[in-house]
Amino acid sequence: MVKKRRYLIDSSVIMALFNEEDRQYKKAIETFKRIKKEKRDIKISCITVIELISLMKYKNFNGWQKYGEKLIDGSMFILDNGYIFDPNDLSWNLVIKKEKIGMVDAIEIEHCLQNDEELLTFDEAQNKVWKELDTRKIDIKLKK
Amino acid sequence: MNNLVNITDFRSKLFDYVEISKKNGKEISITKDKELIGWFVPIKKAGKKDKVDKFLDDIKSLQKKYPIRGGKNLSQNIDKILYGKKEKIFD
Repeated sequence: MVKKRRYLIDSSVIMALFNEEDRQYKKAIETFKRIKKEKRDIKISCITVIELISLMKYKNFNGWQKYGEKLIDGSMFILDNGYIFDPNDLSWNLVIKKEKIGMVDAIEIEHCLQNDEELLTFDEAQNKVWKELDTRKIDIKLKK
Repeated sequence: MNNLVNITDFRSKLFDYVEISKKNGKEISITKDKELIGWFVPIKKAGKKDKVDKFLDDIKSLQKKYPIRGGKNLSQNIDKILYGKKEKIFD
């Protein structure tokens, strides 16, 4: 039996859930209901938290502090607080070689591959790259 | 005393009594010749809400108090908002 991997959640899913006006709001709700059935844990990277809090504060959303607390209080997400950056990292290579991938997107992909986790994202470009790299057998070295 | 059941009756309808006890959350006292010889105590449900349900409820409460009006495409435009419009820098 294949062990179900833990999820690593991207900011796109969280923001879709927080923002009721979002086109992907219902999809976000369904996603969380599916995760409940699957009984899988969800991890969130501190980099993703920084991105979300920066966005909410920058957009001047009332109660951004309260939403932020829900991300880091440990009630729903396992908070990953550590990241060591190195120019030999896959994420650095990805961000250089993949046009539509941002640094945070790339770090999340690398984190999933290194920790045998599954990326949970509504970002099409990020998901495309993730699908290309996500097999448990693949050699993650990029073709040069 | 309520829920008094004779041992013979309890044995013959064991699963019925277990179900009744669980459903009502009540203890059943078992007797033999009108003497109390034991009791069946159902395990009480913890009543603990699933963490996903609690999280979704908490977010719903926050949305009532602090609604986020971010438009239809906010989740797709995070990079654009935070890091600016992407320029074509790749050949």
